[in-house]
Amino acid sequence: MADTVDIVPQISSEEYLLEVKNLKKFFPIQKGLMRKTVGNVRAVDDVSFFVREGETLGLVGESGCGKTTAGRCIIRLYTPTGGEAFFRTKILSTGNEDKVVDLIKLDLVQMKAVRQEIAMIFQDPINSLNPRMTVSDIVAEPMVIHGKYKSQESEDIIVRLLERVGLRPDHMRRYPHEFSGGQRQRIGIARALSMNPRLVICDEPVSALDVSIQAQTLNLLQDLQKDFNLAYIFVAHDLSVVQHISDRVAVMYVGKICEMANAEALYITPLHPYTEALMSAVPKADPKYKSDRIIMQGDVADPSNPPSGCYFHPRCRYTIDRCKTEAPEFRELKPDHFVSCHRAEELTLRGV
Amino acid sequence: MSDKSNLLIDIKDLRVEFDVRAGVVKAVDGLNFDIRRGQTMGVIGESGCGKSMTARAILQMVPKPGKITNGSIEYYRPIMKDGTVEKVDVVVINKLDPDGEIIRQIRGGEIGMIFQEPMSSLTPVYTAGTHIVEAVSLHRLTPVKKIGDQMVENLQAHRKLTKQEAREMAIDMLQKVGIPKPAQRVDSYPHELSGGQRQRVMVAVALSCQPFMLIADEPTTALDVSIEAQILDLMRGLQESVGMAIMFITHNLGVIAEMAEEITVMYMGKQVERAKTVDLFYAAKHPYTQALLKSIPKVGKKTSERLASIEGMVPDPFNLPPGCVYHPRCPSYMPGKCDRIAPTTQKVGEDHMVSCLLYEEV
Repeated sequence: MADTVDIVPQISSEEYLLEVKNLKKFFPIQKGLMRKTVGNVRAVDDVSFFVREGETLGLVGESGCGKTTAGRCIIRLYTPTGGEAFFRTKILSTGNEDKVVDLIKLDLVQMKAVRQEIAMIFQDPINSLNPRMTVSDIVAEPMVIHGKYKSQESEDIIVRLLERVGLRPDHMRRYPHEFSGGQRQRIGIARALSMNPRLVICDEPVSALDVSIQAQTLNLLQDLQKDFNLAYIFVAHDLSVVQHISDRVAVMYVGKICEMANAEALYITPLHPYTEALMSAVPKADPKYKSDRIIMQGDVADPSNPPSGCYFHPRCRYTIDRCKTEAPEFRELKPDHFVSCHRAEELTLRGV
Repeated sequence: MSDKSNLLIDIKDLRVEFDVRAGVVKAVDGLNFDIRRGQTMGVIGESGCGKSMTARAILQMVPKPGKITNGSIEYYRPIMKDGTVEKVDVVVINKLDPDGEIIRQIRGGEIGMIFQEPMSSLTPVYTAGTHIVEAVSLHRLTPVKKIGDQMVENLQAHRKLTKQEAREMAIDMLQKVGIPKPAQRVDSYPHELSGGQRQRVMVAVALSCQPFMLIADEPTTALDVSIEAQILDLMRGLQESVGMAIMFITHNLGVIAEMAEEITVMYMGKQVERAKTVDLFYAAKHPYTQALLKSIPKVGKKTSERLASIEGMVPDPFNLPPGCVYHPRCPSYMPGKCDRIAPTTQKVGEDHMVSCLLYEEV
């Protein structure tokens, strides 16, 4: 396969499976007869993060903050406006060694090949499964697409996968509507695993499920991660679920990551005022807990017309003049704890 | 329960059944339930346990082919005079004509309602068409009308106000629910608002008539935590100022812990446990309640523990297990007992009811 990338992409650390640098995705706002672009919705606006091999990175934030878009840019369901996403893959390498590629610069043929190693699980287990296909067709489809389907051998793989995710293999000729929501999500998980991926992007995989089914699904995802050494990017808005499943968590606000750290550090000792406010809003399942919420003023900023300086400054309790003019830098304040806030050093914020 | 003087809603042995081609589904199966004035009653349970159907039955809005086949829903209707309750009329809601004058006064006027965003509220037992008709007949937002007009209509329907007064009141309510620039927003169409704002408008519509009771069916499920926090604070604030009762239906245990004074846990159309919120969270008796509480991840200290999950699935509604309906999933299952005898409701403490054979002499 021809290498179209001129400069050999470099990943910052040996441990990283994926490193995203300055990722941007703007959606144009078009108006008038000539569809003239009059502005941009800055859905993902200069985002950098990384995922280590076999770990889970949680991506949280309010709706519209760009967490789903960021996930979709990595797998190139959207074409990013700019940035880099270095990924360690065996698919495009000639030997058995890992090769680092920039997912953003790959052509479509190469990208299709790399998608064997990056899978996706969607939020809505009803609409993400084709109602006219049987379970075995659905799980087999990635193998067919990548030309790896061999009838007997693949059939065995499907049976094993279905058993692994807790579905009965004798149901493989059934259609999605014959299953409950939790079971449908298991079908989606089996499909994601059929090509033996290294990275799975989970976009709100449990938010449509009941609590008891949610617990089963989270446990399954954790078991599969151990068995197959999967790395997850876990996009969700439920902060307790994200903390439970993630090794590290990144918090997004209006297209930017404001804080990224080890899950416990982020929840207990947040460094960004937005994280603090989010954490204070989480309802605690304890009636004796006296809630002391920080109510954020106003609404989430408009991503097509973000505020000056730090995007969070109009809603922040700790705003100083500098926040209004100067955008804070996303920096590593403590080991493995990244934050973008001018006042991160001086503020003492409370966690959950 | 013990104190009957402040009763607002008293449900006795309610059964709601759906007679469909494949058989009869018992959506609500012998439910006893009451709500007092000014009280927040939480109702929790998995989807399909009948919690929403109970709410609909209270408003005499059970969708076809569903029917209330047994039991009674008594509404102790307060008759107000000069801001105080003068007397109480007992209205048997399930005997009322679903399209009649009285229920229309009650529905939306005296008992307000907030339903969840339709994202996950479609029930497979009836068609999309029914959903749409029903959505319109409920005070759901219509996309072709300005929100201000819809609020004004609701207000005028239930309170004697001029159009101008109603409009001012609508703006005032929008302000209270935290919609920025309410005087301009009152002329917006629903699609011009964000999801959180739409839900806040729904809260405003429901509260604008100052109901005696608010039925909130998963009011914050589709919302972000920050917006959810605002809506919950708002509901609590309004409850304190007007003394309204709330029936709060959810499957989010964090939200219920914060909002409710008392909680009813439902499973397959039955009440399995009812207790004061603190007792339920700290001393749950029913194995199903215990399992539900253990299955939610908690924020704070991170543990590597797996979540406790309830084995198996909710049973097929056409083919319910004999005896206690929970026994196939129950860790405390007693063979020969639970699969033969249906438990009855037992009192296990002050205001603490449970229906499980572990607490019953048989």
